[in-house]
Amino acid sequence: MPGPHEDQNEPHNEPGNQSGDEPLKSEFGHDPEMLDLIELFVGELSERVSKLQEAWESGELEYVRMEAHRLKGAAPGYGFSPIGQVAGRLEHALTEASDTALTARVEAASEDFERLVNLCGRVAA
Amino acid sequence: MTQSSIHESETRPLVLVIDDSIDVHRLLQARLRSEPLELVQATSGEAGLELARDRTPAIVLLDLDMPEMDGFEVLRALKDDPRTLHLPVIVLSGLQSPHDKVTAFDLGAVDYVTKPFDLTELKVRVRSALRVHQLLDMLAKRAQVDGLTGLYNRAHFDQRWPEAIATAKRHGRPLSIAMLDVDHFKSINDTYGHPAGDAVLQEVAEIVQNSSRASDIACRYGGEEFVIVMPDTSPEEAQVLCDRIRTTLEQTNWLKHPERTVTCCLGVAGCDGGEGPDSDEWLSKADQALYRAKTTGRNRVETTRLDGPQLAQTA
Repeated sequence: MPGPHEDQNEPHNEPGNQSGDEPLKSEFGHDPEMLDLIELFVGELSERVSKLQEAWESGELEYVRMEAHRLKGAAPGYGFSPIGQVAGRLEHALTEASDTALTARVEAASEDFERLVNLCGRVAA
Repeated sequence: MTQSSIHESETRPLVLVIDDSIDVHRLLQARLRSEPLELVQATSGEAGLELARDRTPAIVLLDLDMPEMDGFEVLRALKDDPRTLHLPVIVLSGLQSPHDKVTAFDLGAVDYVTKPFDLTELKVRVRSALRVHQLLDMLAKRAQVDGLTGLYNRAHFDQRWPEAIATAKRHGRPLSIAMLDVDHFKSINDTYGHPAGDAVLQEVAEIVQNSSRASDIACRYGGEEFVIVMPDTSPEEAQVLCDRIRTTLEQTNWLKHPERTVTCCLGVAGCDGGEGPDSDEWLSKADQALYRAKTTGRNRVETTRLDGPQLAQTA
């Protein structure tokens, strides 16, 4: 099983903390090799976020943790580093609180979950 | 196999990616497109293990945090299976604790790249692992080849012969083996010198190689003795092939010594239906057939059928 994560110590004033409505553009938006892939990622993201929200609301936190883990690893590859950072924090929070009661886990991770949903809602191809 | 054929093939090395994230597969596909390699992808540990066994990739890129069978379990299974034991595994994971890294290396990983990964760094790590793999592969192949003749050596034969028997028995297929010995080889060395003796061995090896099919395993057994493993070959068919080798050698013109004739004896032992003794006894039967050929006049082929009446010798 995964061990404790020790790389999640970013201060909470990282890009993931930003709120607002401005679109989040890929850092690789000018890379012709990546354009189709970015479009694919962005196109699928809203459905992924919907499933993430459903899982969150129904308390399926292991699904949320795994999806956060995947976004942490993949989003920077598409040029969306802020999503990767916040997803990493969410995964970390859920892993750290894995032995606590459901309500405590939700409380520990809710801030990062909201940030992640906000960021994902702002991505633009 | 000849010396020239042991060089690396021109085919692109296969890289197996085992990761439950479809994003990682897409990104690697895009970012490694320019590399001279072929990617094959699995989205679960179980599927990855199956591909590793079936396709024998050059390297494996393995995620650790996967549902059901995680990467540590996959790594253990790869190292527990003789077919995949030596596959180099690069861990590609979001798990970054020293404990996870130590565990992965202890289980046999050759490298550890953390996600999100830098594509340039990943490329050079993959290149480096492929280079090491290719060098080890080349060394392993060279260790199985006889330096003088370019045929496989005794070590290779010792490994492949029992495997050939097991395969023939499992599928109920014919199998034959031939031992070849150059007649009066010592006198060739004594009369014409060792370089001439070496040239004879090289010529015999070339004749054996040219007469064999791709599925045959031709080896230098030691000294002036050679051995040919012939899967899917009855003793009668093996005798025909061996007689072709015998006559080709007999008719060879030796440019430096045109007066010279070199001959050989061959002893064949085989059977049709996947029966037969164990590897040592089977080889011993071929050796006895070779001895008969030597003691009944040389320049002959003697064949022993292990599951029926003896065949007549040819000369």
